Amino acid sequence: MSTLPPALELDGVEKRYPGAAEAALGEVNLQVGPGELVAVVGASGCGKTTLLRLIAGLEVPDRGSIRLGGQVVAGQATWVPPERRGVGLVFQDFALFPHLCVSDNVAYGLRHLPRTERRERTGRMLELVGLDGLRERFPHQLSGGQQQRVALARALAPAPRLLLLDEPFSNLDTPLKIVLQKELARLLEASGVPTLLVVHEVEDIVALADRVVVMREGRVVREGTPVGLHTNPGDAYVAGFFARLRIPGCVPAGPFLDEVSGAG
Amino acid sequence: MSLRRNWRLAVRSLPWGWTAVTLLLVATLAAPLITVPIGALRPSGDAWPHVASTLLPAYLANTGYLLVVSGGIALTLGAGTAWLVALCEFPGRRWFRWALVLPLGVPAYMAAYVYAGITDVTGPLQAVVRALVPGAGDAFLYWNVMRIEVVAVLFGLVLFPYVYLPARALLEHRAGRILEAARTLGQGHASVFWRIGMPLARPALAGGLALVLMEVLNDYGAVHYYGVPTFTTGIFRAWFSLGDLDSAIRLSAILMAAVAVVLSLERWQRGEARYGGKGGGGPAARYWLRGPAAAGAWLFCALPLVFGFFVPVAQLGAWAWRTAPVVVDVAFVGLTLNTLSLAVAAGVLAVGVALPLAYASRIDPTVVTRSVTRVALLGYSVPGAVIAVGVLTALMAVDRALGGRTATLILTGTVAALVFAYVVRFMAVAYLPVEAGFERIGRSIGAASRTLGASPLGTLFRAEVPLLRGALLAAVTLVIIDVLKELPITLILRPFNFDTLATRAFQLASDEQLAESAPAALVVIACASVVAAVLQRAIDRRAAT
Repeated sequence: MSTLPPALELDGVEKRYPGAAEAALGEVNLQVGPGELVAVVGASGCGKTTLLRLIAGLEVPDRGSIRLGGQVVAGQATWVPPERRGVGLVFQDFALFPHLCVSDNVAYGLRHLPRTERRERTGRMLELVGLDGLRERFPHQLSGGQQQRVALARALAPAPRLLLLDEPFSNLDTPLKIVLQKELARLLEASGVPTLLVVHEVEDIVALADRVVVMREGRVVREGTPVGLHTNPGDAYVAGFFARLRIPGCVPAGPFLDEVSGAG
Repeated sequence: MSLRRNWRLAVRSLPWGWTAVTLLLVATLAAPLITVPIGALRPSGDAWPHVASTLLPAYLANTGYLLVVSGGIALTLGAGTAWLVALCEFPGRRWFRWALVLPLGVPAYMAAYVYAGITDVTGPLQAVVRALVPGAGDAFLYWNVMRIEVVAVLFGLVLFPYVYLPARALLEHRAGRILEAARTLGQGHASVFWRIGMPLARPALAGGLALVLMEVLNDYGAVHYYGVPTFTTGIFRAWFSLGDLDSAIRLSAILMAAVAVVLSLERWQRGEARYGGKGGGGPAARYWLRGPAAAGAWLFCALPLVFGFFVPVAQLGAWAWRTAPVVVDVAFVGLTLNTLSLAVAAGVLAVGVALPLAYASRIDPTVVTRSVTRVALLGYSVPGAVIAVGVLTALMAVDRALGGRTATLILTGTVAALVFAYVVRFMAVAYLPVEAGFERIGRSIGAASRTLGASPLGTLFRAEVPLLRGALLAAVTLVIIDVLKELPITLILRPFNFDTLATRAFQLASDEQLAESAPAALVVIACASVVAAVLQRAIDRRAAT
């Protein structure tokens, strides 16, 4: 494993939007190893979405470099456009193509394959997410959970070298969330694609991540395993995220809990 | 005493009070539109069989050709410029973004005679060629720009912003994430444009195209100047040259049928596109164009702007420079004021009618008020010449009723008739901003006012109108601009010796006094272009929040 370059490497990445007083991202360093699931946690507006857009190539960083599998895709004098990065992105609102049916949505990124192969791979992706029976449906005829699974199948179909998930559960109802989080973890494991996931509150899926990165105001403030951060959050901000997390056989740390519950 | 109070209470609490107001206003506005198809049902006059067999085929063929070719050009230019401005980055993009609406300020008939003047034997084009290449003048000997193909291109050049504006708004505000998703899936620029961008923009493209086609059907000045026989020139010919109102009504009825086809096609397009709404939240990441691609994008935006706006304005400016000292006198100022007061009267009256109509649909949103109100808006899709014929027929009937047997003209041929026709034609222009304004206010303000004891009418004037000021002003302004540019209605219904800037410019141009027509034309274009540019900024700000 250690001989492979990391799937994703951010080195001192900075981004400031024109006219904004504060930088959206300041000097972010981040790595996702091969096959790793990394969760980024932070309050709304802390730069999580900007981070994903920079990695996908939808924004250009002001400083720093981004490498995918060892190849520089953004850095000094280098910039690879999104269509040539091979990064799958599942948008917060799923952004399904409203005029294409489910199987055409999934097949969209497979135009380079011959027809039979394309059909075969589309079928396999839909089986993977359990939507085989809904191929001919249009996005507006699907439930939120089904839409999410189509978006996931669509992003995974072209075999991306990295998968990005932006708040995958924020548009879903709570009962659905619990089922889907487990399912998503299973799918990601089955696909073996390294994944960076962004959430604004610690949910069950974070417990399944290999590593967790906590962001605040555009900067990485803490990094560790879910259990490590849960037992030893280091400050009240981090503890606030992890207080709700239930990890079997793991007791949350003492010193910050009062502060957290006192804060509401 | 108590009887009177009871009566007042009864009136005030009438559930159908606003419905009655709606029905009355709509009936008045729809009367001239209904007289046309009714008139066409009567047995035909002697001239009609002749018109139908000899002239109608050419009218159909030419009108059809103009619809297809102008529509195609406007669609290509509008969709292409909208994509470049909304999804790409290249030098000058920000400037093009607002400048591309400017051609809307140039009425097609003015563009038509300006280009005829430019390419004429005495015009600047031939003069320059002759000066540069001795003997080259012969090449123009059999050259004739007064062709239907040229008219079609000119329509496309000045009307494409009707497609550009809604397509740009949709791509900028409602498609961002979806287009980005397509890019992260590894598809190239062309694939994203054809397979995602254009299908997403289809409702906006269809709506814009419908406006373009209705403007093409509405035009009289350009086709008349270039000698292309179409339905509108046919209506004018039947009425003015032959005094044959019967044939004019029948031609108008066919033209209305054509409009109905355009409108239902557009409806059908929209019905198919049930989706939309998601995937918004800010514009998409742009394609950074460099080298030849950037130059191509720049040219694609610059060419329609140059030929649809800057060339006509520059030529008019050159002519006006020469003739203004003579043409612009006290009478010209009088003409300008005359035109403006006519336009303001029409604008205020139209909004004065639109306000109760929109308010009635708001406080009493029954099927009746809503569908009936839509009827009042149909005037905008009906060509001006048809409305003029309808108003003429309706008012002559009213005059007959009022004057008894003496058949005097009481309303026909007055400024009142003209203003009435403007209000019928431009009701949608006044109504839609008012309706949008009401929607933006929301319902709780009115509800609060009602619970505090104000009547519906009191609520309208004390709570809602003050909040609507911006929308009302925009509505009046839009009607004013449309009246300034209006030609066919004014030509048919104006009182004897009564002129607006538009009719004066057109008349002078028709008499081959192109240079003398320039000052009046420039005033119209200046007003229309400034308003188009300012209003789209206001619309942008609203969309951004």
